[in-house]
Amino acid sequence: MSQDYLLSLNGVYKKFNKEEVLKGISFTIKKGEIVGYIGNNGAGKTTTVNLILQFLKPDRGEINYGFNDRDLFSNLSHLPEENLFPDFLSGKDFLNYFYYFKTRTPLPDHLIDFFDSFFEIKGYLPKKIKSYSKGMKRKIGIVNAILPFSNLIILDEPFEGLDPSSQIALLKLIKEVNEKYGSSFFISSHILSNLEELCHRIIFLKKGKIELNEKMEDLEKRGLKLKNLFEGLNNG
Amino acid sequence: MKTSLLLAKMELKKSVNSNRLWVIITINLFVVVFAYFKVLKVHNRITFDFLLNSLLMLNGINLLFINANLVWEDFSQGIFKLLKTSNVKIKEYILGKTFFVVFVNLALLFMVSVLIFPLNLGHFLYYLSNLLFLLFYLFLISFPATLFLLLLSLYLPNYSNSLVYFLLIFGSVFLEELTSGLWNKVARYFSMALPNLFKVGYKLKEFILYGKVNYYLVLYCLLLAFAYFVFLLFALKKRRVI
Repeated sequence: MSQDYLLSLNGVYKKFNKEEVLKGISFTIKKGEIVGYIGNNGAGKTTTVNLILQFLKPDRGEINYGFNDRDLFSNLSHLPEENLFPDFLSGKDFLNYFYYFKTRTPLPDHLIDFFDSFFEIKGYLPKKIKSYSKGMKRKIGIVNAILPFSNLIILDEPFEGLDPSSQIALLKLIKEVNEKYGSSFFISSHILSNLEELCHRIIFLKKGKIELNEKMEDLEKRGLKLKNLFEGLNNG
Repeated sequence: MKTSLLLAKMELKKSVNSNRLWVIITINLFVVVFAYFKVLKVHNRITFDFLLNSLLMLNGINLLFINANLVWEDFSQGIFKLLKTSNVKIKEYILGKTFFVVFVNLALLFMVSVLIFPLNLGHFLYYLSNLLFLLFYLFLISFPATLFLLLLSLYLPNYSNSLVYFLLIFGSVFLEELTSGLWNKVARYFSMALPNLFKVGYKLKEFILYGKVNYYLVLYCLLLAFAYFVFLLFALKKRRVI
């Protein structure tokens, strides 16, 4: 890979009807980085994700990928905010089918074992997804998003619907995948404490503009807590 | 190819799960049983032909109706986004839907053929000969039909717009209207020509006889095609391509 970034947004603007949702945002994600994306409801987080996934086109500005644009979804995977599933499938079928779509190879058993060690999903796999609880649906969605260990994994509100022990398991899972497989993560979430523990860098979006883009270690050196910082930036 | 087959398998699971297929199978059984009694009673080949041709058309409409529904559901439930971000290409998606329609239609036709077999060997052969044509016909029609429905879905101004939903369903019926006439002509021609397979002149005569164009149907289709063209232009302006 010639570029030192996986994703780069340069002065991206997006307008819906007459309302400007994104006002020239710029940031990059480097290989191996875990980036937290925070902001109030309606700040433009999901619009950013949709732009990265090419569901929308920017009005102005550029989005560049550190890999071939044509192979976008071989290098990038996504957990949507809502649980979007073909819920008529069993969990096993769902994971098998979508792993095949992404990689064109069958899903190996050892990968199921790997995820089972975090989420205990094996017992649920033969059952149909529509019979799952909200938390279980979230877990199977997360496994599906992470499974091919893409270069860049985008998780939109991954902690939503998860009980505390599953949230802890997810934190461990993301760290392990990041270290073991070198995947980068772009995580949009409202759970600041989890992001604080997990992320290498934080991007704060306010009314379509980036107010903060800093490394967590720099914030820690300055003794700043994400919660206080969020309050300060939000009121300021 | 394997991706498309997997997608078709997914659709089959969805259909079985939502009882749609069972409704179609029940209708088929009902009509065949009805045809049995009718034929046994009056020995009227025209009635029998009419009933079974109606059945064929009904299955075609039902399946395109289901296909329109499936494309619509993929969009409204976000499954299409999930497929797209899972590296499924548009052509694989359309081919998957086409396979589904072809498989189910063939299975239904085979079922009807087997049911008819004890009653009348001629009719059985007639229906079995349809299988061959159907394969060709469905690939020819279902692929562009799905592409058309997909294009409509892509350019929809608003996913929750009930008018658009209506147009999707209406579109599938329109496509069926457009094609069923042609299909019936070809199938009938083939069945008539089957016993005279080597008589080229006879085949030609039959083709000319049954290949006549229904001008009202053409006019109807042209009007609908124009309406769709205007609608697509409108939708194109409203929504960006995904």
